[in-house]
Amino acid sequence: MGRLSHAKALLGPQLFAKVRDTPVLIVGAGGIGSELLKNLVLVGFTNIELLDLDTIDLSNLNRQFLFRKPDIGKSKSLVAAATAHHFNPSSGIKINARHGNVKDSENDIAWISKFGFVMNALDNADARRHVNKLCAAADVPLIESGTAGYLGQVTPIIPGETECYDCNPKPPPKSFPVCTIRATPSEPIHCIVWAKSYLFGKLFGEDDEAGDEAELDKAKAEGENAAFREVRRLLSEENGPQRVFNKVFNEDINRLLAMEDMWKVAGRIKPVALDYDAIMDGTFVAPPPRTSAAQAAAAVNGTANGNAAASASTSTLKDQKELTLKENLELFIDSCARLAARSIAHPDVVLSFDKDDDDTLDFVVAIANLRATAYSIATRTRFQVKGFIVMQALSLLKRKSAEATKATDVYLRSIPHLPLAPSAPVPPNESCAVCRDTYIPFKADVSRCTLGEVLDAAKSWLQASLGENELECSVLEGARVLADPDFDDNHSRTLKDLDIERGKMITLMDEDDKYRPIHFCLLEPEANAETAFSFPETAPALALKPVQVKERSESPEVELVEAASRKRSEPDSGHDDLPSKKRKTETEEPEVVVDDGDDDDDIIIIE
Amino acid sequence: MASEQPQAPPAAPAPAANGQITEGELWLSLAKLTIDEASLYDRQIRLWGLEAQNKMRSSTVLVLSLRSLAHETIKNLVLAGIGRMIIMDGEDVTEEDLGGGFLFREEEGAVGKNRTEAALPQIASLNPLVNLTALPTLEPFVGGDKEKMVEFLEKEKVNVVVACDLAAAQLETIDAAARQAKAMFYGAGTYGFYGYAFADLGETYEYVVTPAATSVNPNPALVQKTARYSTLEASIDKTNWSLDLKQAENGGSPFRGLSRQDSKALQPQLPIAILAVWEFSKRNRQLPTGTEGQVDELAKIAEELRVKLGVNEKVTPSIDAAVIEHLAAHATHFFAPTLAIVGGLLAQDVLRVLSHKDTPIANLLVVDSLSGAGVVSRWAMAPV
Ligand SMILES: [Zn+2]
Repeated sequence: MGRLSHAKALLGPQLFAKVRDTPVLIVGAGGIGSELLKNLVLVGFTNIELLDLDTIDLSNLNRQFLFRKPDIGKSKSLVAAATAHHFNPSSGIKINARHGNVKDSENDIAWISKFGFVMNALDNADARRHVNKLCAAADVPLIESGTAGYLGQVTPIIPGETECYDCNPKPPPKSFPVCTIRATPSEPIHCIVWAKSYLFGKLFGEDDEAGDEAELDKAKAEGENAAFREVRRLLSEENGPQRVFNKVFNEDINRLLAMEDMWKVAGRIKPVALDYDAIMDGTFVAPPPRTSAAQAAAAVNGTANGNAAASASTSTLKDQKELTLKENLELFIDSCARLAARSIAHPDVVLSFDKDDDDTLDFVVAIANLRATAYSIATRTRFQVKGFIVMQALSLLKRKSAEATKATDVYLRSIPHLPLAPSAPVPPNESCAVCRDTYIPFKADVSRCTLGEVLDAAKSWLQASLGENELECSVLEGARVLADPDFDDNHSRTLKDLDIERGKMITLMDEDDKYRPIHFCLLEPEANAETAFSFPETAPALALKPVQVKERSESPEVELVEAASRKRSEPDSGHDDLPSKKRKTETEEPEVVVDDGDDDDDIIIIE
Repeated sequence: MASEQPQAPPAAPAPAANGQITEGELWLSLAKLTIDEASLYDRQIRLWGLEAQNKMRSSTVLVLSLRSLAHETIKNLVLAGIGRMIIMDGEDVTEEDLGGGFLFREEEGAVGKNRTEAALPQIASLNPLVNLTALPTLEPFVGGDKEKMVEFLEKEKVNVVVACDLAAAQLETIDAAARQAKAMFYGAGTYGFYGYAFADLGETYEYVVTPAATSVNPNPALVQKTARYSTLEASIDKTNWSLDLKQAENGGSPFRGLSRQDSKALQPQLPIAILAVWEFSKRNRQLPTGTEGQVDELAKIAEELRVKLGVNEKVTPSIDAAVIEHLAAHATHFFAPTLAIVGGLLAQDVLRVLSHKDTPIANLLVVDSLSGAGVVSRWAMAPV
């Protein structure tokens, strides 16, 4: 016990006992998950489940300190668990590492309700929302975290007490002026957005974009699109990628440079047109990364870092080769050719950016780097702090031991004199379509019961809660309507026939709009169940819908713009697909809006 | 010198459901974008950060004491790719050390080995390219004289000294030596759930910041700044505490004359509690260990400091007894999540100053990991 003596002294016997007893789940074994796991293990949590579907990639090595080069290609969760075990091998810690997707059907509410609390260490919004919903359904506290650069936040989500991940329409996406993205980038992110959301789409996306920028600058946009269509055509030819490069990094930049007014703005740095041949034969001199005025002046006089930077970029860090300008160009040519080949082979398949698709990732990386070079963009190093997740976990445990501690969100900020700031938790949004609904665990042998039987039984079971009222409802699985008062064709079919299985939910939507949706969450049947299905012993109090509040977004000056998002609306909730609408914000300049969600989300351009 | 104030973040997102947007929400929404781009960003960070990376790669960081806090900091600095790291510690690993020092491996026989020897293989495996030197002693930094320290720092061309978990009196001497050797200095540690990091980046420290983009100026140029730091000794010198904030550069109290709102934000009781522990340790030549009478002594010291500093009476009428009790009982205990938070912030700051980019700690960061507060107060430094 020597190694845990400090933790024990600090936590006191009761809380320390909870640390030893409480099973916890970490979803995600990447950067945040690894740190979290280390901290939990050091504090003495003994029963930890770690779930991740990813394998280790070369690019994970520099910040995810549990992984080493020989681990590449192996499961993140298994390797992380094995490494973290070394941090506390002797005090009986068990890490149940699983390589899998949290959305798999086995990860149902019965599974998640085993845990004292859950910690999200995920990098995509879709999985976060899924875990959030599972936790809401199973009434399990969740600690949601995201860190990025110098910034990060840790938020405890306690069902019924604090707002959940989906309580608010997602914060409006980060936006950049279109001009910044298209002509005057100054940050790495601008180059990524341009590469991923603009150029990629122009070359490989759907070829129908003439319309969406019409009002931006009609003539110019049309000219440009026509030019791109021409380039797209060229892609199929022998030196297509090189022509694309010349258009984008030479002709277009020279055209921009010719617009002299654009470069008179203070602080704006002119780009440098890239020269294919000069880069290839090593004679191209990259502009120095932009720096302070004094240093920039020195650089212009040929004394500073341009050449040094170019040569230094060949050195390596942790076996990971940094790309030189030439290598970036080669990567571009190569990935562009690969993508062109794919788009020729499958003209019907629209290519979209996917970070797990090497061709698209290479393309975007190369383009963003080339653009950053042309615009002399340098950047900062980043850091993350994750200890707060465990501190939040402990305060949750403390709450449970009846000492009512106030849960707080913690934000890490880039404000120099206040780097960390707690903020008061917000109660749930009464009209939240995720955490205010009623969820009921429902054990069923799906091949032995029909939808009609289940519905009849469910209604009479709910009768205790309904009182006098008769529940008139439509029945859904996700967005799919299974039945409604005028449609009972599916009543005689088994759940299995209807493709309703473990992990899914049968949702009853009250036609009279009095009750909030009631979700029956399908679980495995008991081993020797006598009946085909069973409900919990007592029916729950059904949640009522709040009195309708006028939608804020309907004020006349606000216009809804449809996001160009493909998979955004989640089929399993049916009624919460509003996030795919974006409010138009009042801005003087046109903006590129980057959706905050999944990697596969597109951007939209709002005039 | 209002120039160091953070710029307003870019265009505010639409309000949340209650119609109000908190600062936290604002940062949160900005953070979210970056999270999603993170994997991509990762691959490119080193290319874009070349200049900063080069400065980092050619730098030498000296880390003193591997008891606990240093582990997180070492991990982060080594992963980031600094050029050379010297680790020094004269003590052997105890079983208790394993609870915070994750660079010690029990199965590899860490217990009983010198701390630097035990940690070395793990540090090396984090990034084989970092040049590592392990010295099984804290001399001359503990028990040596200042001239020997200066000599060491100059000989080894140390850029930054990071002194962890050392007594306040020792930190003062090491800082003075670092000044003389023109090395930057950090003194940091944790006391239970609380932690601190003091920075002395020298008489003149120059750095650049990138102002936030605005719709008026979407591409602001980098801004060059200069800060004048104080030594630790001067920072906690009480002589001029009767002067107010405006005289802070001359040792005036950083809290006297602060508006109510600013006092609230800066939470003077956190740095005061840390200073009280330092003072206690100077008087008693040891940290409080929870024995009888120590709470009262610590509370008394803290109250004296509070009065002397002229802290806003309405905001901080007294130093929270719970804070004092915790420090009196747990100053010698460490806690892994607190170490991760403080060690992470410390490493982040060291990387900032190695690349001379962004506003560093100026000059005392205090973290309360339980409540999630982190505040920086400026001692014997000009107010921003
Ligand atoms: Zn909710």
